[in-house]
Amino acid sequence: MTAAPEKIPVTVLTGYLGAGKTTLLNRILTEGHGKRYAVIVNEFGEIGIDNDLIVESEEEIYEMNNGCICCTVRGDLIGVLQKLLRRPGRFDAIMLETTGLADPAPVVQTFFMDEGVRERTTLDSVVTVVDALHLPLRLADGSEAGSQLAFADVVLVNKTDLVSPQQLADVEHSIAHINPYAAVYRTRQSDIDLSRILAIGAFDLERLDDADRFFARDHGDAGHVHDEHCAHRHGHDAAPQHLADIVSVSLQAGEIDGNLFFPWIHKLVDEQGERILRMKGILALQGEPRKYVIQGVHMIVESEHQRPWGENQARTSRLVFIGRGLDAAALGRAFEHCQA
Amino acid sequence: MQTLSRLDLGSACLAAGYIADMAYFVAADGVMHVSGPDGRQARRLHEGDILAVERLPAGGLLSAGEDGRIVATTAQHTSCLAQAGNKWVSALAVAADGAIAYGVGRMVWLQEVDGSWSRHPQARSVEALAFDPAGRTLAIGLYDGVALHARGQDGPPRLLPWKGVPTRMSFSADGRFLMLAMRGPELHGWHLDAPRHFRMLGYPGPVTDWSWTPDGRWLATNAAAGAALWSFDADAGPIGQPPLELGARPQHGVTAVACHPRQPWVAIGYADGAIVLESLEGDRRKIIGQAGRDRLAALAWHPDGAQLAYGSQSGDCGAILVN
Repeated sequence: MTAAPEKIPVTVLTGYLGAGKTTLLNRILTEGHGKRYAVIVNEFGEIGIDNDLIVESEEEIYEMNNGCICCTVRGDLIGVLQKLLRRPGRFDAIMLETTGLADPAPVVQTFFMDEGVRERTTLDSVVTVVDALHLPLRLADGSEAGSQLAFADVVLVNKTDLVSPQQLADVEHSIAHINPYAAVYRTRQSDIDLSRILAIGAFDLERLDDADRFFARDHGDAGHVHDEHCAHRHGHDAAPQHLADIVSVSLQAGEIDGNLFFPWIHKLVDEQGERILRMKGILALQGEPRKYVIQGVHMIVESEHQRPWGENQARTSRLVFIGRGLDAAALGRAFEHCQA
Repeated sequence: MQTLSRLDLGSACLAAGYIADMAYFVAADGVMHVSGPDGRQARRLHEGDILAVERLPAGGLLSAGEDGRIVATTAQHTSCLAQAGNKWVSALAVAADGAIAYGVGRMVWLQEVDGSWSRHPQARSVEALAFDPAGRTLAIGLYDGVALHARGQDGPPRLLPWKGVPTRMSFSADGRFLMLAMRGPELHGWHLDAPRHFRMLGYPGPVTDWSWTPDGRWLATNAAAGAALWSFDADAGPIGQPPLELGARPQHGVTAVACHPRQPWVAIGYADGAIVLESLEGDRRKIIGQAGRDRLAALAWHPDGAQLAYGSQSGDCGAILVN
C-alpha cells in the first residue's frame, strides 16, 4: 500500500491594487529557491515569464452547503485545482493571488469546504501586502482592506520609503488594532525574505500547539513590530483613529470543561459566525493530558488534540477572535464560565 | 479476457475511443496515444495539459489545452481551429453538423460549419456546453442555470435557472430532456417541453461519466456501487422512476460506463480496474476481468461492438476483444 501523496501547500496572496503583490509574486517566481509554483490569478497583468504555470481564473463565488455549514466558496478555484492536480508532479506549491477588492473569506473557506480540494491541498498561509502610504485611506474608505488584514498570517507593510517614521508607526498601530497576531514586516519593493512567507504552516493545527510563538504576541515579544504603547486588544483602542470596524479579542482562562466549552463554541459560531473572521485557541481540557487546539474561519471550526502539556507548562487556555461587532466582555465571561 | 493491446500513457487517461480501426487514448499531459494493427503512435496535441475532450461526429476528436489551443484530430492529421488566449477553456461541444462551441471565462465562442465565429458573453462562468441532437440549440451551463441559445439567431437566450455548478450536459436523443451532472453528488434534469426540472439524488459522489444507449432509451451513469441507468421511454422520461441498477460492487464502485453500440448491454468499469458487461434486458452478466491496474476513467466500444478500449487513472490502458 502506497502512502497518500503529500498535500500541496497553497499560499493566498491578498492586498489592494498597487500595494506590491505583483512585485512579490514575480520575486517568488524568479528567485532561485528550488521550488516550482503554479500561480492562480484573476488577470495575468505582468506576472511571470514563459514556462511558468500561470492560470487566469475568473472569480465565481457561490454558496456551498456541507452538512450544517453553509458558506461561500470560490467555485472557479475548485475547478482549476481539480485540473492542476491531475498532474501534481509539475509543481511543489501553489500561489493564489486574489484581486484587490476581494474578501478573503470565500478563498479561505474553499480550502475547508471542498472535499476534493482538502484531500490534495493544504492552506499554508494568508499573506497580505499593504503599502504604508495608502493603507489609512483604504481602511477609511470601507473597502476590503480591513478583512484582508484580519485574515492575514503575515502582513507586509510595503513602500516604507515613502512615509515618515510617524506615519509608519500609525500604520502599524492600525494593523495591530485589527490583527495583533499576524507577523508584520516592513518592506521596500516587497523585499521580504521568502522563507518568512512560504511554507510557514499557519493553518497547521500541529503548529498552533506552539503557544509561545503565537499567543505571546499579545505581550510584545520579539515577533512584534509595536512600541511599548501597544494596547489594542480587549476592545480598548489606543490607536489614533478607528479606521476599520474590526476588533481583536483575546481571552484567557484556566482548565476548561469540555462539556461546557463545546456547546458554547458551536452555538457561538452558529449565531455569530458571520462576524467572526478568524478564531484560534489552545485549551487545557479537564482530564485531558494533551493540548487541544482549535481554529476557525466564520462558521467553520476545526480542532484536534496535539502534544501533551509539558511538565513545567502551565495548563492555561487561550482563545483569540478577530471580527466585527464582537462583545469582548460577553465573550470573556462566557469563556470563564467554561472553566472546570 | 483477450487483450489486443496494453500501454502506459504516463499520465491519467482522460478519454478513450476509436478512430478508423485504431484505439486512441488521450493522456492528461497533452499526448494522444493510438494503437492499431499497424502498431503504436504517440501524437502531441497540446503543449501542456489537456483540459477538455469531445468526439467529432465524423470521427476523431476535439480537444482544448492549457496552451489555449482548440485542436481537431483525425486519423490523418491535427489542426488548430482556434487560439483561446490566456484563460483556460472550460468547456467544449460539437454539433452533429460539425459546428463547435467553447467556453472561456464568461464567454462562449461558436464556430459555424462555414468557419465563421460568433461570441456570446454570459452573466456567469461557462462550465459546460452541449448541442441538442438537431444541432439547433446550444445549452450553456453556467453557475446559476442553463442558457439555451438558438443557433444563428440573435436575441436573448432562454434561461433555465438552477443554483449549482454543472460539469457536463447532454440532451436526450429526442431533444426533450437536458441532463446535467453537477459538481455535487447529483444529476439535474430539465424536461424542456414543460419546462420542469428534476433531480436524481443518492449518488455517493459526483457523476463523472455517462453513456446513452444507441436507441436513446437509457442513460447509464457512474459514481454509485452499480451503474445507475435512467429510463427515457415514458413521456415524462425519468421523472418519478427509480433507476435500473446493474453490476453493483459496493466495495469498489463504478467509475466508467459505456453502452454497447448494437446490443442492449453496458460495459461497467470499476475503481479496482475490473470490467463487467451487464445486460439491460435480464439477469445476464459477463465478467470481462481485471483489465486495468487501477481506477478506470474511460471506456469506449469499437463501432462494431467487438472491441472495448479502456483507460485508467494511472495511465494504464488497453483494448480487449469481447464476444
